[in-house]
Amino acid sequence: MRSATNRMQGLVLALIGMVAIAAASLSTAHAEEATKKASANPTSIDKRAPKTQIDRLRELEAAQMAAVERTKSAFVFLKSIQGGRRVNGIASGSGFCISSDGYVLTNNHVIAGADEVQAFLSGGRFFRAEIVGRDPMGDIALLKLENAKDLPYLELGDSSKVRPGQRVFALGDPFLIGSDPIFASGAPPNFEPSVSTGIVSAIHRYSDMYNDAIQVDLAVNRGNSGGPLLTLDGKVIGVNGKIEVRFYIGINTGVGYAVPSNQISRFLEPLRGAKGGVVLRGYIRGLKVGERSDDKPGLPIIGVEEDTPASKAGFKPGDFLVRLGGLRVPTRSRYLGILGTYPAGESIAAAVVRGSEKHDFTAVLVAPGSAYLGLVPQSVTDGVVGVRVKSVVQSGPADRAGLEEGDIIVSFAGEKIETTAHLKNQLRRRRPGDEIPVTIIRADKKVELQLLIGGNAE
Amino acid sequence: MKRNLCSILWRTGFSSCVLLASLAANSVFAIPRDTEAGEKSVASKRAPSEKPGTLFELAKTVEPWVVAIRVDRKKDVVVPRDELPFGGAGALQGAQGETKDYFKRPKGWATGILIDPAGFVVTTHYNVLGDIRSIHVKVAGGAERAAKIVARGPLDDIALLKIEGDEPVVSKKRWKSVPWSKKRVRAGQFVFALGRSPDPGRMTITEGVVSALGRNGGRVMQVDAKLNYGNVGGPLVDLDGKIVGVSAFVGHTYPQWGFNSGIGFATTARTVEDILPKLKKGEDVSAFDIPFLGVQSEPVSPDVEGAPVLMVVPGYSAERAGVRKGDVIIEYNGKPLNNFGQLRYQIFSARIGDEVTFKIRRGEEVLELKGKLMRRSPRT
Repeated sequence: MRSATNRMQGLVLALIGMVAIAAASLSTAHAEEATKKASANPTSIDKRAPKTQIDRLRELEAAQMAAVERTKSAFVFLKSIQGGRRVNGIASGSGFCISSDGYVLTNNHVIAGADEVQAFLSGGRFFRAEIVGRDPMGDIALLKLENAKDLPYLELGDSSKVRPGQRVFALGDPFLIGSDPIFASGAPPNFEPSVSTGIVSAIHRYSDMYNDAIQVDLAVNRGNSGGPLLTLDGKVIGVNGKIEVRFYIGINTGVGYAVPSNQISRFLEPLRGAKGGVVLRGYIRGLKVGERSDDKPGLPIIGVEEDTPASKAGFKPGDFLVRLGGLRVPTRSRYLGILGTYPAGESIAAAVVRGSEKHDFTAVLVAPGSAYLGLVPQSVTDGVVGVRVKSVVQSGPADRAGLEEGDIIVSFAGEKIETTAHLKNQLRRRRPGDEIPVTIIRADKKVELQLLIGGNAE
Repeated sequence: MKRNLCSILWRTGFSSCVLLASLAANSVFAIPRDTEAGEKSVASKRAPSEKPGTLFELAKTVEPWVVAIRVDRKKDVVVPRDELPFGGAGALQGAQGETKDYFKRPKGWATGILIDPAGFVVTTHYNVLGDIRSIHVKVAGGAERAAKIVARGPLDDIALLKIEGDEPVVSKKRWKSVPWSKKRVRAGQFVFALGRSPDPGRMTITEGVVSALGRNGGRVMQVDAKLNYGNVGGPLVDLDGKIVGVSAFVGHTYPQWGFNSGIGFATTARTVEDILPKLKKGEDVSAFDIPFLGVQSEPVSPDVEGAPVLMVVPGYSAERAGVRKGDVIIEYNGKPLNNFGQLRYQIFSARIGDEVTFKIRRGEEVLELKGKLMRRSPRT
């Protein structure tokens, strides 16, 4: 990971490329433990002396060790290799399996720009990984390990249940201790993830790209990026991705941020379908909001376009937006930030104040911008009726769908394409995120492709 | 390839400063009196047989073995900038003018473990690095006394010191043997680092958990307890009050990375116990004291399941068993191997003379071989 190497200058907030797993709420674990003990030996509890500090620590320790034991085999060490454009560009970070067939979650910044991603499971079993989808705004990426089956995996927990003070732990590869020789150059790494423990410091934190982060006080360092933050019941409640640093030194200060699991869950399906591309965030089309709420009851709504998702949801000019996705909205930038934690196609809960009444709406989110293909079309002058692909923008939607220079597009979304104007008309009717079947002629053969329309903000 | 081999063997070029002394291995030592009345009264509320109920009481049970060490240097070691990981120096350049200070070891007390009534003290090798003028050790409740280095184990970051003089450091009658832990340590387990700095009379206790076990071939564990210059060299104890390791390798944490990062290391109790007999004889311990199979492999070989043999060192078990260059070691003592790291872990945590079995794949064939882990000669 680049940010895990030496490009920290000037950054106050450092991306850390780490993975953490969060354990379930301690109180729950204790309650279960106590219930079990009570039922097994009903008389022993009452007569026991009050628990000492050491007794309580022993209980916590048992829960921690069990959770670590259960989760660490699903940890993944990631090496993203950027051979083409950068010399010796190897970025490293953490990740974790979320399915037995090898879907892996990590941070976008761990793998962005990679030509090749290598994955090592806990213990060192090697897989090549392909990028399935990325959410650059939420700093999340979904990978798939090639030819993987029967792998241990972790479940995403409910991050809305997380409370400050709750015991959590992280799994990660800080400073690449588990995947690089550290005690001697040339010595083989042992691919054992590092455990660090601590508590949740705060929830719903935001800074830069992180719009609804879980703040933790446990040791999170470079190389931890992409790793799971876990509760003591072994459920993932976040992906550790960023730390506050001081004096330009990118090491742990006791302030780390994790992308919450509920945000990730919302993006999971779109990520699976992204075909290696980017999942677009959503916005409430037709809604114009003011800059700040200041002393007003909420963020002022200054305009609602007719016949848009905004008007359909029920917004009216003069309303004050008090909650979006359950979170307070003091400023326009916060409004945009919260929207960034939802993919296009999802809907979001909003609460407004109108006069003395409060109204709850649900707004459908659409992708921003107009549809974008990432290709330059050209009229065909000989023989075939269609539109020739003059060039393809690298990594654009057309490129990702497999379109190549020289292909002739003959049909788009089932409609015959005869001129470049036809294609442009078709595109105008589409929105970013639409999936379109495309028929092309390549070397005199018909080829069917699935094209995921991008947004021009890409 | 040759370089690789050398690096697997580590740098071992430390001269030995030897003071010969032979002592019974299972010595016991007395628990010195508490130095502070307040602490004493709290500790004495519980009967001696009663288990400690608080971390304070737990720490008090280990306190007698925790000593303070003061080292006067003419010149300290400097970490070469190009050895700093992750472009460390580069990352520090933003803090202009302050860069150098991050690598300076502060003056003051460090920590050690008294392992013997005669005054043998285990600490980290890092604590006694540099051009040394004098070393002083302060035992709990005792006076400051001069000490000398007996032997060094730089590979495990351990040094053995001896408090000078023939007088026992504490009266032999009331000594208790060092509570080294015999239990298997597990990731997620609580550990507490005990230190005697900055005030040698008041012990510090720092909480953390075991982060990983298999560092440096399993000779070292990783912890997230805050280890810094002061408590390094001291014991890391578990909730039973047993010593599971010696806080060590601060060179991999504090000075190089500027601050404690929550990444600390400790030499395991087992490693210390393994090397102590040799150190007590005044002999340094090096990579050559680690069991050797006699093969060389690559650190990471993504496309091979197992440890591919790049070279067979003549005269050792692997060669005798018939291993050839190009073979892949796929199983060791019945355990399947993914990579060289796992093989090395197994070997490092074994003992010289151990009989081992391993499976190799040679083309289509799979062979089962036997051998004995040997001591490596410095000449190979």
